[in-house]
Amino acid sequence: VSTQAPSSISLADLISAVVHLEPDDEAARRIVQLLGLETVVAGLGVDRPLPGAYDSIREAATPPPPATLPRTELPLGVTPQVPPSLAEPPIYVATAELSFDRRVATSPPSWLADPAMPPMQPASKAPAPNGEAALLHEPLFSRLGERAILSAALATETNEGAIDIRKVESRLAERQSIAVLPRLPSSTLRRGVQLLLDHSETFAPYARDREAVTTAIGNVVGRHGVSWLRFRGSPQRGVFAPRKQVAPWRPPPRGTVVALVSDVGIGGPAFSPDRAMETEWLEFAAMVQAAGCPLVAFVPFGPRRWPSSLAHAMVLIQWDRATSVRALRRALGKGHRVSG
Amino acid sequence: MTDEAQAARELLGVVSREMPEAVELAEAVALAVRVEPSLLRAARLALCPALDAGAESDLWFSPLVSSSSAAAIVLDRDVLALLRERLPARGEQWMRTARELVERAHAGEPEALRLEEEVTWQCTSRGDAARHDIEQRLRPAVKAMVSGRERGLEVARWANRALLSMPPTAVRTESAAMLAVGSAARLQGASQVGQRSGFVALEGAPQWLLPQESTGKRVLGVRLRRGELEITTPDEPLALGLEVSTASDALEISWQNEDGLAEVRHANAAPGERVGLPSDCDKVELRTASGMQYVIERDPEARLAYRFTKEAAATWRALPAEITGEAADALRQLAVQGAEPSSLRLEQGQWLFRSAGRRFDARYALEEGEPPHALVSTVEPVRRHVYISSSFFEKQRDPLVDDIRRLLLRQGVTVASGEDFGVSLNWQRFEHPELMKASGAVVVITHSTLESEWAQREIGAITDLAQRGFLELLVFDAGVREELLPGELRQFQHLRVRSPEELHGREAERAIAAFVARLPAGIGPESQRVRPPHAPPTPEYALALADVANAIGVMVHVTFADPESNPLSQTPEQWHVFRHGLEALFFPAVSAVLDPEWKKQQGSGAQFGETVAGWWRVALELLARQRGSFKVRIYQPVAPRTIDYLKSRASLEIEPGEPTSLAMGRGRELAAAMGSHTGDLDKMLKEYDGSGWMPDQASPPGVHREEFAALIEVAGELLAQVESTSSPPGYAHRAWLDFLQPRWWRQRDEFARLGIEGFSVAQDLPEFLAAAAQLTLRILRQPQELERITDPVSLSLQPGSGEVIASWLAEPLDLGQTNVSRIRQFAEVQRERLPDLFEWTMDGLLNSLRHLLSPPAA
Repeated sequence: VSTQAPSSISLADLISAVVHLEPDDEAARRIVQLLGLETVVAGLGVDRPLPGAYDSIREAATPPPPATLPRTELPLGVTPQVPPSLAEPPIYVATAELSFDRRVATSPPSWLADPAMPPMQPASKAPAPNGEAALLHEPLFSRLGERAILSAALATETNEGAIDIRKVESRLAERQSIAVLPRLPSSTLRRGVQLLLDHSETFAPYARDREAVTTAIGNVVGRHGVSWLRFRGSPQRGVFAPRKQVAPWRPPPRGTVVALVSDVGIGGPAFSPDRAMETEWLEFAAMVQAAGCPLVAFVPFGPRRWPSSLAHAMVLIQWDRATSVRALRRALGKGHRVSG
Repeated sequence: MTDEAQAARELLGVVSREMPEAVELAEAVALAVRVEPSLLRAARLALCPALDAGAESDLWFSPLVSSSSAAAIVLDRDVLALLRERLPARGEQWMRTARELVERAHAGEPEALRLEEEVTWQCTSRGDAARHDIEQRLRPAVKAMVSGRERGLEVARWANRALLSMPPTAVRTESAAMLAVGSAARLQGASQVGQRSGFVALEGAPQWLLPQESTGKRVLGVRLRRGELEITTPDEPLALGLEVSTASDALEISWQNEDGLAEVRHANAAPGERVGLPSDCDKVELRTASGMQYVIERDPEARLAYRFTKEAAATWRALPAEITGEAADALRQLAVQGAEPSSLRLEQGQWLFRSAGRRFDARYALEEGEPPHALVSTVEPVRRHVYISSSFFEKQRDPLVDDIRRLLLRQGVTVASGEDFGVSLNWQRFEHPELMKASGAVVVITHSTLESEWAQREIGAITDLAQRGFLELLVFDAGVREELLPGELRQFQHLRVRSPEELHGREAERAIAAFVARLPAGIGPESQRVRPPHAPPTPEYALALADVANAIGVMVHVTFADPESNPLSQTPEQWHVFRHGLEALFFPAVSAVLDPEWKKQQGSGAQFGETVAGWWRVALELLARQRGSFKVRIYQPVAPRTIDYLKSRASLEIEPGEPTSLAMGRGRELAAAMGSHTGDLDKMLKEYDGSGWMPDQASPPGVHREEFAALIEVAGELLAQVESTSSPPGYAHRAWLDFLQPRWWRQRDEFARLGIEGFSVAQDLPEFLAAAAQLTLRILRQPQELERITDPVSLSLQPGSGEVIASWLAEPLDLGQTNVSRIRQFAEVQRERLPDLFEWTMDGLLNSLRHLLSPPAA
């Protein structure tokens, strides 16, 4: 006897045999063996026919006992739209017994008629509070330090400061002529800023901050010194002004600071198409560098989250209260150095 | 604890490990119904000063958020409940600050929102002591609900949402129960309050809460299922009829929990509602607001839920029923009661048994602790042709039959021939009676037919089959004297045709058109949209299909939920692999690239294999580069040189696994055993080879479509099973799941809209191929770029960002140009025709790649 069910013999054959022969347990077991269906039967969760499993044929043929009244009759009609569904939990055979045909209707509670209790006006808004009561949108940089931070972050270094007396002294002492007065380095914002604003889905939580910092930078640098553009993902994918078509990003004149207001791909949904990869940002940084422009990015995430390669490729400034003017000046000195 | 609460707890645990800052910030705003950026910022600065601004983004995009817009986020209500439980540990001052911020942020917001937040605050800060106050505070809302139709609806909509997330203390008030009843009665099927338990039972019948005065009664159906109570129409199978108000009514469902305490839920008295119950709940009490009260109780003695009758079988419709008892016994019961196994499908849980010999499907799964039972149904309408013959026993067709065939074809009705059903001279010896049952028929009665003794017997059989709904009869009594036409045939639509020319007259056209219009769904023009077997195949069946697919060079991902080695019950890594349906890699496809001999042997099919295998090779390479080492589980015999290649990648660790499980030839044998459903495998393969290396829209026989649809459905079922499981092994993986599943389900809707149940090879396989090839193209063109992928999880490969990958194109691709151009051609056509489907296939592939790129589950 084969222990493997031949493929042409099926459970249906077993059922037919059982139905026609009405075997006892032992005979049924032999039928299973003869048909080679042990594996199939075991797959049904029954290692061997249960005691009495095949004795119930006569009982099964007997209709179920009538339900005790009062009970709702089971419907015998068939509904066309009942697809057998795997997800559906099985329906139990159940009875519904009417225990009370009518409960006592309760009258509305007395408080319902109380004129002192007005009904809720679900959509009515209270007047918006003013002054201290209102919750204002706190800026990411502290209000006091914001201007200084932006000045320090966007300034470039220039040799236009006070006369460098030490250098003058030194040259005179060496009896050298002074054709051009040496000057101390100073910082300037006059080279202007190209402001690139991240309008990606991933930057949505900082939308108000983005608008606020745009205004603040305009106030610090001067509106004529700032050109601003929007982008999604990264500027490489194209930039756009309001109500304008997306156009390829072009670098500003040499020396102009390119300032990003972005999360540079650190935050946002993992699979957002707006989330540019690190490589994309590195390529962008290389393009900015090739154009001779300093690149600075205001990033809401702390240094712990910055990709190290990006931190080397651009000046990342944590856009948060933790950033101080002093630390920034220590890092940047008089400003970004512009080659050439 | 409910499933949702348990899932929320697990989710919170995962997110706490992966993004603790987001959870800390979530606690700070947990008293708010809605969180705007201003509130988030203020809460971070005041309550979590150590967190940087990045935490705001982390929370905003975290899975703790159930919905978001550009202006605000809403946290998941089950997560919120857990977060609020933690707040008292923060101290009173901290909580007060949190509340003040919420109050200030929403001071100008609608009253309903402020009330909800006030209730939340009271419950969180004072616990049960606040119950009386909350009772008072919710009363104006109740008053508003019953004070006018419009305002009542407005409050009902608010309560419908708010009650789901209100703390348990608030839900246990009488006012909350009133809001639940009023909301359920007003929202006509949109009510969600049935999802919430913990309400108190209201005294008497609170008819005053109903939106309008009840004027009469109507009958509603309910079905007690395992774990839920379903509100239906009364004519649904197994539905119990209950009397409710003709106007809007509400149901209060209560049962006793494990501690013997009453649990109460509310639901709208509208078909479609489902109210969650404990899985072991056998008895519920149901009260209507209009005054009726029922006890619904499972009948423990019932062995057969639905009496199976010939009449029921003849309707050829789905017929669910439940049988308790040992499975084989259940089958016997059905057989004893006169139904034939060929018209039944038994199903329970997740398993299907498909018999080859007698054409019936049985699905079994014995869940642990569950009594064995089966859900029984007739097979759904499957392919139905119109069978046309001048006689059941006469294969020769006369011109009249051919004319009728042409006319029917013009009406879009597929016409099968007698041979299709293996008609023999003795109709009782039909070789394929099951096909006959699933067919319509046009019977042409001729004078000679009627004079035959056999025919007389045949007419009786035909009539019997037609009366049982197995045949659709259009009787042509060509040249037959009126008195000779048997009475039993006259009850069907019939047409007298004296000569073939008469068939082209208006009367004949009208008769045929009327006949076609009367055909049930599945016959006629719709018959092309046959439903593939939509139940997941058995492992054997899937293996066979896989083998078939494999033999013609198609890559398939199949994973089996085998009861003996259910991956879900094993290690997280296996779970992870299982979920993404990638456990089985079909290495012969890889061999197509690696083994030139294989390529020669397989002929044109290998070109396709090459395309797909190239993709897999990339995946393997990526794995080798990314992980340093990983396991390859081999499920099929692999050529030695393939093994050598794999070993040459020193980083690969090869685990031979169990090659017999997918042994080549085994599937072929099984497939052959499946008989007509699977079709003659050899014939199919020959046809396939003859149609070229890749199927197109015209050439593949219908059977291919079905087989591949079934294959794709395996994947679909896997996803469905995944959806019902919890305990994601990692946050990133959960994010994948969240990403993938809506697309799958959305696509299911799309399939339904198109009348396609599953994935059709003729329409969709080319897209699948195209997507695979495109991805291969994009990646292979510049392999050095692969080394720059340092963060595979964040590698965004959604549609759109594929362009980024496309920009890598630099090196020539090692693919035949013919294939590439054909793939592109297909892609263009398919993209235009079924854009969503295209995106879906692309998504599926990309997700597979993401899986391969991902770090193993923790």
